[in-house]
Amino acid sequence: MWDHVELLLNQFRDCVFEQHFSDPVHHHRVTLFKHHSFWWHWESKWGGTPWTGWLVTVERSGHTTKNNITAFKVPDKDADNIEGVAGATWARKASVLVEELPDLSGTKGKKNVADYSKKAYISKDWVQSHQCPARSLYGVPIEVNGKLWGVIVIDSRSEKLPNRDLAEKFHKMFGKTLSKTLERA
Amino acid sequence: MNTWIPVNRGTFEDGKIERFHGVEIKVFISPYDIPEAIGAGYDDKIDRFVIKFRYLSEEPTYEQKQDDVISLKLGKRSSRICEVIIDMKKVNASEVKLCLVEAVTNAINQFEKRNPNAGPLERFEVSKNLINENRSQIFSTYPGLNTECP
Repeated sequence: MWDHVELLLNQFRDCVFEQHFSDPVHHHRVTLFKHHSFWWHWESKWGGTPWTGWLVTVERSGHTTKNNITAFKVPDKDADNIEGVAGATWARKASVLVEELPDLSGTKGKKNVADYSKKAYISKDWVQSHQCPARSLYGVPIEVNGKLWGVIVIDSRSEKLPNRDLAEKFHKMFGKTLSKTLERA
Repeated sequence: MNTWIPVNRGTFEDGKIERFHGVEIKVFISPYDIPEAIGAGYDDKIDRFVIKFRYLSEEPTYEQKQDDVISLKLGKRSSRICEVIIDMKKVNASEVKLCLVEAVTNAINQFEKRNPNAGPLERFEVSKNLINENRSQIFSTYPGLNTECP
């Protein structure tokens, strides 16, 4: 089943970034996050309790950076403390686009870290301790049987997300297949 | 259903800038909130005129009466409007010159007011807009009906 999901995410990526075909695959990624009411990981250092409510990576496009587990807090009873564009998408129950994030590929200056942290809904500590190459992020809610199941986040090193409309078209064509496949997850 | 009208999603895909938790973001309606198609026709089994919305995601539904004339069939999990059920006998018997589109809009508005946590407001706006934009086609299956407001 996950092979099928991975295939759909790869197709999703190729569809949105069709004009960036020669770029390395990890420059433009599509990541599927699943919502967990309870989640704990031995490496966890992101704060919150296991019962906080989390969005955790379950599948990612491409063949590189696949093993990086990322988790964002989405507290059901404290929506002000959501994390990440994934969390904003979950809480808003709508697709969320954030573009023109600061370039942190060189030295991480204080102003850029603060700006990135604010715009991407993540703490300054998180920005400092992680590589944050994405310059644009687009979150799309994922439903299974009418219930919010998780989110897909497209992250790109492009300052502006190219072809957002293609992401919508792809979702229209394959959203049903993805939701049906995830019924078994 | 006598008629199925495909929905042009482009109409709803412009997005809007909003402040969310102190940050300006661009928000687009969830693809699950935009119906693929809107259908209409008289259902002889229940003896009612029914407007149906077909979405990306399917779910169980429940019916909620809004007034004497109109009931809504809603998604159990999402509260999305899946069907608008209209008792045409009561419409025809009404002494008031009823504007049906307005009556349906009012019924949806009432549901929104009574259920403020039913989900993003955009999903109800989509339902209302689609009925309004396609009113001629929707109600063409029921001749002699007044759909325009006086």
